[in-house]
Amino acid sequence: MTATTDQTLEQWQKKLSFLPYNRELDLRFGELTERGCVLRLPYRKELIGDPDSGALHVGAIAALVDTTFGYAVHRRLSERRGFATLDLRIEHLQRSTAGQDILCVGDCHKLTATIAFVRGVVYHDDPEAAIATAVGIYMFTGGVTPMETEGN
Amino acid sequence: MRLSEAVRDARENDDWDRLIRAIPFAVFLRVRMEVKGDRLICVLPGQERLVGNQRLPALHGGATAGFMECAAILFLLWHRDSEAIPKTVDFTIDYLRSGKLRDTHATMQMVKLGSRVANIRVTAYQAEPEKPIAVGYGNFLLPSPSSPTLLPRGEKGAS
Repeated sequence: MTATTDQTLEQWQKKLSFLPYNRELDLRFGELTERGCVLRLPYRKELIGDPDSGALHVGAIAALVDTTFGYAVHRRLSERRGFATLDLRIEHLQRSTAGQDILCVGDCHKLTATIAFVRGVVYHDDPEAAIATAVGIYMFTGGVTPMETEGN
Repeated sequence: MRLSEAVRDARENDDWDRLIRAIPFAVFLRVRMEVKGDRLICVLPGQERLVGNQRLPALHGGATAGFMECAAILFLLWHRDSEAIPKTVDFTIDYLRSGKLRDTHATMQMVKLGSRVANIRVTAYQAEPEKPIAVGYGNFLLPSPSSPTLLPRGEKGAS
């Protein structure tokens, strides 16, 4: 079995697209970082929350954040472990711009035996110009990961 | 149609589907609004496309979160006597149980309705209301429709 840290971007994308809701949102793996990853939510009219401005719904951003953070935890682990989101907090600093893809970088900055802590930023082009900031806490469940069902 | 017009239209006709149809993301999730007396219940129908763990199978945590944030905003538009669209400042969710592949319901509680900010608590449950799958709370900015939001000198608005 390949250690999660050795996998390529293509292998990560395959895992990501294996899950139905990730496919529905067309989430893309952007980049692997030392302690996490960057995911992209392509702009789509179906995900608009404010028809007046064309800005995506904060609920679509929440899915991008939760998914990015989950993969940041996987990225940080040396072996596959099952975990579940314990809590997630998102602060919306400014409205997103219509027509532009949204990125999220997740940094799994602390791992304990039972808990993983992740923080991150949501942005268009520049993480310094954040649309939102977020923190998430993930708890190891001892079960299988959702991706193990793909059988590789 | 502008969202404020959709709110007015839904309120005047007591047909909240008209509001849902004006918000693409609510249509995407297939959210329904059920008004029972003086209560609003939002419903997220169980759908294979919202699954995040196929082994269980379980609802994607991001779908639960998106539904709850959507429900909070729909609640504010339903509850307040205003067409001004609230903006989410922050939203926090505690996940309590794994969501099954079945309908999810959300009920909302107005913890505080101020003149500028509303604090809302959202409870999401499936078969049993006393066993919520997630609880969330958030602050929502209530822009006055007549006066533009005040910004520090030199800064442009987010939108």
